[in-house]
Amino acid sequence: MPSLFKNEPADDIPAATNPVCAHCGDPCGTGSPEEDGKHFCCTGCLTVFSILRGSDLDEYYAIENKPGLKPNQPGLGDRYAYLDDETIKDALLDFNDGTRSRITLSIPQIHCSACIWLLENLYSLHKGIVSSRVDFSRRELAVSFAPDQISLRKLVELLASIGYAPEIKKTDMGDKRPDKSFRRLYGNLAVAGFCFGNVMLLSLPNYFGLDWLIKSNIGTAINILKIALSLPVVFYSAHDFFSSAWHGLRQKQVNMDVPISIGITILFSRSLYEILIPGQAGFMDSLCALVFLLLIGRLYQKKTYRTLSKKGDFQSYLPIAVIKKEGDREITIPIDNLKAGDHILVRNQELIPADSNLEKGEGHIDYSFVTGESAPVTVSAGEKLYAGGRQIGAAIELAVIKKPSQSYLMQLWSQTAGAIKDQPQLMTLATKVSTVFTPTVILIAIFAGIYWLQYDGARALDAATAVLIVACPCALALSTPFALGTAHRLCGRSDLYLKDSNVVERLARISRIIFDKTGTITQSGAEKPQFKGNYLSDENKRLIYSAVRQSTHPLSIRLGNYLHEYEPLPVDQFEEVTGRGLKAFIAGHDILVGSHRWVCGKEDTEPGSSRIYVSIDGKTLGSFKFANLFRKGLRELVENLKKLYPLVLLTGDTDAEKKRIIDIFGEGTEMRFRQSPHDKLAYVHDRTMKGEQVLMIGDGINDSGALAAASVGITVMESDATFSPESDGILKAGNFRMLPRYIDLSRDCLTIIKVSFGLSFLYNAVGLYFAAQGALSPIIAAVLMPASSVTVVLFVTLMTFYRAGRRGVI
Amino acid sequence: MEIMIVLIGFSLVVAGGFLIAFFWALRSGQFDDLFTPAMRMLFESRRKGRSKKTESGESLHGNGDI
Repeated sequence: MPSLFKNEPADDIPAATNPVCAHCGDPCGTGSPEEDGKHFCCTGCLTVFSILRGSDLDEYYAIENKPGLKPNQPGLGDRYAYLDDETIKDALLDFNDGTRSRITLSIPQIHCSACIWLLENLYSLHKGIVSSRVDFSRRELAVSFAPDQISLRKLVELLASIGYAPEIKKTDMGDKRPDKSFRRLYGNLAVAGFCFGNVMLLSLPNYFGLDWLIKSNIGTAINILKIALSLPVVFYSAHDFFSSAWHGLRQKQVNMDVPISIGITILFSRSLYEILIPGQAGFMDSLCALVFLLLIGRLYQKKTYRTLSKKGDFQSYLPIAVIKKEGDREITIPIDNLKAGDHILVRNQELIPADSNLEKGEGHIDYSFVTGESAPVTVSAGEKLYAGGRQIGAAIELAVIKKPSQSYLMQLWSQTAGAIKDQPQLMTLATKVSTVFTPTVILIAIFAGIYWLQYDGARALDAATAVLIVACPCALALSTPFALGTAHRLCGRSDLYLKDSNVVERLARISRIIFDKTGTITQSGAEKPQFKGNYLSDENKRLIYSAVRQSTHPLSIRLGNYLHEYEPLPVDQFEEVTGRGLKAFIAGHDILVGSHRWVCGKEDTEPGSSRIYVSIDGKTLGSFKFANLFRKGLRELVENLKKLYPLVLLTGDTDAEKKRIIDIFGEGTEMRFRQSPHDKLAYVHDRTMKGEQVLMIGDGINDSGALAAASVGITVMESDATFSPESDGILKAGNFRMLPRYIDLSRDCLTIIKVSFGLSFLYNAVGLYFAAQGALSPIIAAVLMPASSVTVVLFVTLMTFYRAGRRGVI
Repeated sequence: MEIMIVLIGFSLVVAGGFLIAFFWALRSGQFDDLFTPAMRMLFESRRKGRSKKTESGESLHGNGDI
């Protein structure tokens, strides 16, 4: 994984004197490995470099400048042992016939063209690998290999050893047919376009009024061809409109596809009748144009950001396999085979898969996934542990009480899923309009028919069908996808990636905004401690790191994360006093880390600040300070949004920083502290059931329930390599202050759609004027339909661009 | 003028051929990933004489896609 501190050398090391790693570009410390005049920041990077050079793959370094990824520092050991299990293997492989296997692996680290090049030349590293192919936008690698020469486990370990450790999740198992709906849409569109062009050409004699040609044998042949060409349009290309209309009607919704389906049916049957019985021209050209244009709209709207479409349900956080203890043996079993009464081993940084009792070892469990509180809980033997906690520290042995599927956490989440399903779905604007529009048009058609029955019976059916044809809401149906689709693309261009274009409409209609605190309105991860004091040498930093990594105190962990690039030294003595600090004896040095009182022996002159003081061999060197930095522009953002929406702050933290928050959000803002993920979800759910449209802005796994339940859930992310829970959109942290602009744009977009609806009603009225008189000629229909659609599409697209420019989104 | 019918038929067959070609391309997965090939071609020439991929004829995405 790329380091958070990439290209940011630690404060007091002058960057210029230190060479950077030839593999990953990180600064090299003193005494770092060196080979062939090239410097490396760690032995891991050097190993990767040697592997690649040994296989003639050093071209990798020529494609991009220092593209390398740091391999995982500790040895892989049996981390991937579960990949030897037959059931797991079968479930993960796409294809296997004994001599040839194929697997698609998700590798989020893929970031540049050198990655593609290296991963597609994997066969040079091992002869068992037949071929490999990267899908860059999905960050996926498809590998074909010979399982008798390289096992799946060896393959994955090979990838991990060069820094591209695949992410293997439980949801990868079982059926994973790739999404083929794009292919279907392209196919529909190709057929519609092909038939549209040809039918239009075949209709030229009608447009020019070449009666002698129409009445000859050629005319008859042309008519037959027109019917033949429109059949695939109606029965293949337009199939999705019919099925969507039918689906909508069954859910008692008159969506936009209902009047479209009526229009297509009437157009086709009337044309069929006209061509076959009186031998007239029919409207086949309009029919094909209609379907073709509507499909273009579909395609425009369909663009999604693929990384967002991945299913990120709760199961994907659980490990695929667990280590079971049978007597003295340790065997790896799939998590589904875990039963109550089994004894399992959970190592450092691993999730507890099921509710269980602690048998052996000391548990320091980080329950942030369950409770939102990231300070680890200390658990001693005999006590109960819940699934979803993460062990930090030495391996522990557990006795399983309940199967993973019956764990407390699992039950909580299945309740969640049920609650979200019951929430009322927001009716889209287009559906709302269609609900009124469709019956109105049918009524007009009936009246036109009845009216003409009194004067000219023969024209009654003509007039009624003509009304239905003209009213087919082509322009109406196109304006929404183009307006939302354009806004969707423009947001993506300025780093707000929305799942699909419908999110833009939902965003425009929100009535309440909920913020998470840590990581959302404050900067997370990158919080670099400020060091106050004398110069801190590398050797001293290494000593401090070796000491603090023994401790599970949240501040120690944060300091440890900051110093993690140093190689730890063996600790000879260690003692920690809760609430004060720690004392360690390492490599002949006495190290004290902790509060002012612990280190300096007297009360702090600056009470209340969360400073960590350090002293080595009795000499106080200075202090580190961590502060939650609010994101840039937060104050301005809150000022803007407060005028429009009620704001709410839900946080898992204590109310220690309440004052600072009130200073920014103002007195009246609703704030809830110590909220567990389930509390957050319950709050969002409750508001939604009351009919509110909630925008939830969060960042971590503990917000995932609330993000899923909200009308729109947006995740704020520092970099695209970090984990994100399932949500409707991802906002790059650097653009956080632009949030009000996106909301403004989405509201503008809705206004533009409304105006365009007015425009298309106008076109419909003109068409209806001809139609109700029973005077709709094929040529009027053929001109009116595309002309109205194209002008409406142009209008909404240009207007959306214009408003986006005005709002400062692009 | 009867020859027109033959000509129209002929033009439809030609155009239909392209439609079929498009469907073949679509089904073989050529439209599944529109981004990576653009990057791949930048270093196509980099390891000459070692294009084992094409020799094997092995496909990753189904029918004959390489």
